[in-house]
Amino acid sequence: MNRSEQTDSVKQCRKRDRILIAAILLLAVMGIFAWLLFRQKGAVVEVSVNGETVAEYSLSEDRQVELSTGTDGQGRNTLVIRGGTAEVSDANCPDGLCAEHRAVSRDGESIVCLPNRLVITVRGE
Amino acid sequence: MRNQTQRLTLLALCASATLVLSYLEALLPPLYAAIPGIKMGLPNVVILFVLYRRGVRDAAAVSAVRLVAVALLFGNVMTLAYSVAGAILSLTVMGILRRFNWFSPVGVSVAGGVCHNVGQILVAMALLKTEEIGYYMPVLAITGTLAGILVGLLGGLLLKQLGERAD
Repeated sequence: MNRSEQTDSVKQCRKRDRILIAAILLLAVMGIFAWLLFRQKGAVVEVSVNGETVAEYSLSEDRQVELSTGTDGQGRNTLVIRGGTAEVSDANCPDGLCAEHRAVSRDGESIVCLPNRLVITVRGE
Repeated sequence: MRNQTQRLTLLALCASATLVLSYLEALLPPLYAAIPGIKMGLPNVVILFVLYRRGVRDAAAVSAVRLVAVALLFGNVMTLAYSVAGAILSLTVMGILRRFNWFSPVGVSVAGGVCHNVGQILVAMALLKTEEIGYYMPVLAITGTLAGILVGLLGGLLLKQLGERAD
């Protein structure tokens, strides 16, 4: 392969790189738009620990629940329902990402605490 | 590379470089606490380098050492499951794309980054028995692409400086 052929193939590769990047970003943006368009206001929050649904609370009643989570039940996450939204206000998990997650209120939205194997999902009904 | 000792030395060096970079990355402040699962993946610069210079088998070897060591040093068994799934998927795809020569290291790295996220999401869906987490995918695809571009550019620089051929 001589030099000019090599530069050509490098150029081709760069062009394909851009097409790949553009395609992924386009798909992602379409996915986000589809999600924003189709989700609706939720009615209840479903609490699941270790993949099993343990409780369900209405979003229309304000309350605060201490959840016992994790594989050994030693995990603690505080679920707060206030003004039609649900959030985790406090947790003993190592990263605390669930507590930093913004409040959720729409159908399909969820807060996940991986260390404590907790999923809080908003549902329509 | 002429003998196994040289190969072993290079791979060991690269594996320890990934560990240092993992540690370095852990020190950086989490910029995006609102969306979990986002990392730039600095150690992948080294993995990309090994993939180009030595092939997919050696890249997988370095990646395996790195995953186990990182899990022992900073993480736990749970995070290991996620990163192993991500690593297997992304290395497979990067190995294939590397062979076809369709993309530059940037394209290969972008595909690898996004596949890493896909693997993690799939494991999360299986472990937590919920599909809801799939909503993260578009967001992770965007951040995975950005991380892949950065890693690809840095990896390309490294290959240029150190030479792409396997010596």
